[in-house]
Amino acid sequence: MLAPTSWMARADSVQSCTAAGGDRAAWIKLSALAVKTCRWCVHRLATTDNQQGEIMAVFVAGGSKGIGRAIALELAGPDVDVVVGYRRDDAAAESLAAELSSGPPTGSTKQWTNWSMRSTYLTGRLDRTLRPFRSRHVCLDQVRSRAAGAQVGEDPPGDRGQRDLAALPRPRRLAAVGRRVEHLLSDQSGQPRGPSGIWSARDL
Amino acid sequence: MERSGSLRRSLRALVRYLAAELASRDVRINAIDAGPLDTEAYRAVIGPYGEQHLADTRTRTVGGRGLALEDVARFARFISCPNGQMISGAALTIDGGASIYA
Repeated sequence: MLAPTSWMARADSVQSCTAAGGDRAAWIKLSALAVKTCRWCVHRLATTDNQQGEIMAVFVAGGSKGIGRAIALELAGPDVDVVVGYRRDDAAAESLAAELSSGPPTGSTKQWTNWSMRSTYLTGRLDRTLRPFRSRHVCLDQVRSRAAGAQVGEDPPGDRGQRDLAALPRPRRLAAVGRRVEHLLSDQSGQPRGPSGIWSARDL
Repeated sequence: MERSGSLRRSLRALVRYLAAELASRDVRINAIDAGPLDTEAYRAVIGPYGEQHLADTRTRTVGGRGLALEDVARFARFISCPNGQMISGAALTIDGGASIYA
């Protein structure tokens, strides 16, 4: 198997999706309805033009513990930004962030030698753009519609799994480009959001 | 456990529909159906029988070592990378063979 850096840098599927979608970023992998028995998912959010030096962003929902955590650790690399979504356990998320950004844990067999600090690992400060992802019970429609910012800044009461999906706004996309995360898709009127929708990774 | 089982099955169905719908955009959708792993979610579902269940399962896996989180993570990486380019709409089992005996 190729090293993660090489295959993610190529990211052939991203290119096709880019062409189809008309913008530089797209959802590449929406791999799971995160239900109780399967609550992590990997969203390979976006990359730029897949040339050398591009950075892939991967979103792992439910990534602070368990399987999601293992996947976040596995995928992280110098060309891969890992964004971890979580709901409850701040301590676990912070711990993972520290581990991801500080190198190999003691006794790890993983080769971190060349895995420099280029990658940005984000947890804990997801309150703004990625807050919609902070759900233990996330399903696809909810992720996408909430990512549009409809209710950013508040946690909905109760179990999101009970929410009426039909009442949610049309899905729009949230994409990470390089180290930035931006709202790429439109507001309710269908107009794309401008540069004001761009946040640096640090802002997250 | 009943709820867990039906959710697993409905997830498989969902994956197939999503994969079909998004294939034209070169988006692949897959699910990983992992064997028992000692996580919080697992404990919540299994409850007090967790230890026993894990031990029983471990003896049925290849090499008897049981499934590790890293096994699942590596598998996730594999199906996400170009090696898995033609894998879509699949619910892939990784459990060390434990379910063969179930």
